[in-house]
Amino acid sequence: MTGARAALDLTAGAIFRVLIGAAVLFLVIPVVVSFFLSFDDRSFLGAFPPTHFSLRWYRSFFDNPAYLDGLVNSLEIAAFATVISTVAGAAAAYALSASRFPGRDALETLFLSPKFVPTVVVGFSMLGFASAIGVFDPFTRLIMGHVIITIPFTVRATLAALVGIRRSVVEAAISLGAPPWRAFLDVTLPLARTGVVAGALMAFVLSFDEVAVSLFLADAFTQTLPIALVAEMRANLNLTVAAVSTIFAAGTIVVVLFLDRAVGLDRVVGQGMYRG
Amino acid sequence: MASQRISSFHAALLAPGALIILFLLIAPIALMAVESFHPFVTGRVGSGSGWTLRNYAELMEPAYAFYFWETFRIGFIISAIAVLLGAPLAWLAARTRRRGLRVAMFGLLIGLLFMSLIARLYAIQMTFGSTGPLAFFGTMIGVPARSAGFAVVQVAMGLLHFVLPMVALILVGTFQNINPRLEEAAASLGAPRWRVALTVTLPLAVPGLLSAYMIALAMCISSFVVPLILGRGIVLFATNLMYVRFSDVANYPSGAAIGMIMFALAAIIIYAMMRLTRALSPVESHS
Amino acid sequence: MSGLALRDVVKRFGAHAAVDGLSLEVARGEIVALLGPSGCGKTTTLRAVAGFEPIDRGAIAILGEDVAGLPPYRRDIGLVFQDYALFPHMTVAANIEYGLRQRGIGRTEREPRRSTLLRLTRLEGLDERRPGQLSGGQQQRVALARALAITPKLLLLDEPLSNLDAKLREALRVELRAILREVGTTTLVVTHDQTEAMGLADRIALMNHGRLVQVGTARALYEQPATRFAADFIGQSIWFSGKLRRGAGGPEFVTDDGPVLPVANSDVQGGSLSIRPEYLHLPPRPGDTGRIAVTVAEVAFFGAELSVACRLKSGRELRIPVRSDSGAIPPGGTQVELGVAAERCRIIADD
Repeated sequence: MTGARAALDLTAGAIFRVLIGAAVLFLVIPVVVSFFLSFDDRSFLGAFPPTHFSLRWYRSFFDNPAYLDGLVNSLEIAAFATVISTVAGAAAAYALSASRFPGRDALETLFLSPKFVPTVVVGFSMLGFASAIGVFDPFTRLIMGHVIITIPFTVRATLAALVGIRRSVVEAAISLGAPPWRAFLDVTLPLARTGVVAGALMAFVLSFDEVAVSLFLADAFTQTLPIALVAEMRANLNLTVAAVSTIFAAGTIVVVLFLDRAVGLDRVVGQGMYRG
Repeated sequence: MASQRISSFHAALLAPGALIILFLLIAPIALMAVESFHPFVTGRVGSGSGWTLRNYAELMEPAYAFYFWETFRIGFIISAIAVLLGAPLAWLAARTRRRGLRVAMFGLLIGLLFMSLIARLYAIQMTFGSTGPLAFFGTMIGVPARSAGFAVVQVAMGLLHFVLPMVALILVGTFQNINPRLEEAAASLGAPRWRVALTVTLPLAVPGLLSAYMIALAMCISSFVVPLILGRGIVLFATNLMYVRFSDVANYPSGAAIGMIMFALAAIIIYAMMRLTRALSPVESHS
Repeated sequence: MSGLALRDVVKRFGAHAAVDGLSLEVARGEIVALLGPSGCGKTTTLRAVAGFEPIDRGAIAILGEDVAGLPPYRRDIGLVFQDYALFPHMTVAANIEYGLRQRGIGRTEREPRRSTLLRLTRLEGLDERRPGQLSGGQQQRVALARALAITPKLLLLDEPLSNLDAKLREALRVELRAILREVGTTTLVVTHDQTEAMGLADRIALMNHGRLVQVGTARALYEQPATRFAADFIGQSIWFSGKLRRGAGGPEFVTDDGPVLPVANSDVQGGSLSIRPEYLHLPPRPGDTGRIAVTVAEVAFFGAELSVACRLKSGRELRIPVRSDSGAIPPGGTQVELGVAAERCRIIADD
């Protein structure tokens, strides 16, 4: 390579590395800063870095009844929504993968469509609808809203796992004497399990973190944790949210490690057509 | 599987999900559509009788059109930045042979996808805000952290943090499905790496890049939380406007009109993306 | 009572008949290969026998019992799929025992059966492995063991060796035939590979376009192909067009390329002459009453064989195999004669 071309190649390489570095730093630094600030001993938002450390902000989280109520509500709603969404979504995914009928593809798109609707629209429209059909309990409304936003994920994750199951393996079970229902239990279900679990996990996290839908459907007495957080932080911004952020980050790390151990992150993301 | 009719067993399996979609998505949105054409009566919760287009006409006025404009302006720019930053990251993750690096990058991206957005947004505020360690960033780009205009910067950063992991993961798939042998062939013919990238990799990645861009755009304009938390009331997206109309004035019909527009916009973007990628894809994709 | 009997089986997909009136009988304990090019209907036939494809007309009987209306899980068949279709989430042992479990056979009976099969297929010690940890050859043997475990009335093999590389294929083919002979189950093998068919089966049923073209032993099909398709699909053929006439020493065929050759059969009207390349001898052997005058063009070396290109006076070029140890080949440009025996010249009707 001539000098000019070599220089150009080096510059391009440098730009490439800078872009990657910038991206990674941008993504990671706020979380790291939050981590340090969560242990800040000062009672106000002071200059970084903190000099004295304590657990006051973690205590302030667990001492605050609004947060604790919110946490309990969020967990309950996420649990209900996840179960409903996973059962309905996985069943639908199985039916979609196992049959061919006119309109099947359209139906699959329909199941995935809530993903493309802005969450404010979901929340807003659900509010009007719930009132119209006489459902006033905020807890029920929240579950309704959270089910609809999570069902595309349970359907898609289960479908992806089911599509990967070769027909011949199920037929092998049938040829060996297993009626179709038995082949389903012995072969299809275990092989699809990772998909179902992944979908449920996504649904839970999505529901837990949801703000827009919850804002419309909750009321003053039934709040989710995100709503409680936003409300408190608007009133007075303090470092409790840094503590919350760190707790979430820790939880996320656990989930990711679990995913890697159970399935392998390589497989979660996929390896494309040209593996290795 | 030559059957052309659905068995009752499968229909029974589809029923719960289908009912959920019908009752929790189609019916509410249909109702909202109807509401958007009803007039708003001040002081009353709910709408008056009769039909009107006023709710929509109102939104064309400059004061409101401004919100849509802001929403799209920021959305277009941030989506582009997300693709620009996400592509090198994704390419590295897709191509690297070091398993440790690849798993670490996947872990980072998947972790961010799972991690609470609110927590991250407040983290951004604390990092780049006036008391944070990176407060100088604002001063560096000419919008000091204390100034009013900084809210736009923060919203932009929040949106970027929101869409970048998703864009990167989508692009990982795109790059994985580009045959690495093509890049090797170009390199063996004497092309330096930047040339390979420009003439081989990027052209083949165009459908994926476009698709990632449009998904990011749809995510940006639909975002509610980011402008809510980081906008400080200065930056309002159409989504926030929807909430304000409803919560402050109980103007349900107007909120419904905004909702219908948001819904239509998101649908158009997604539809356009699907048509565009199908038109641009030279080869049938794998799955 | 035959092991498997197909009578006038028809299976249509839309307007297209994948299987178009197929009748075949496989004796008990016999191994028959269903051989044909892709799209000929052999896989559809296999799936119909297994019960995964309902037939439109005809009858299928296994050990004398008509299986119409019986779902696959009640036909008592063993099926080895082309991709082996092993249960990836179960161990080798669990895979093999699966059919036994479905029949309610308890552990005390399953274990010895499993051991026997592992020994038979040379898979001892691999009980606790998962399919993902096995080589291609091992997976194939597990698939076979799994199918045989239930002592099926009929064994169906779908392209059993096509997923293996060449050397492994040959070794496994020999082994597979040995296992099949030892077990003695009625077997139907579906394949597009004639070597596989000839190596595994007692008889071959050649199929094309949904119909049986010819049924017989490998030798019968090779030496006396009934149709042009059969002559081309199995082995190779050199074709001569021309006319049949009565000559001084018997029926002879006047080829359009020039040479006049004595033929084995004179009952076919308006056909072409087919000679397998290896039956053209250089130099001619005793008993070769036919002669073809050629000029040696080129000799190519392929290890155990040479490939000699010979040009006829008409300009047409033939390629014949000659064993490397059969003596020196005359150099290019030499005019020689190829010898062929009359019974190797067959007239076959044009399809």
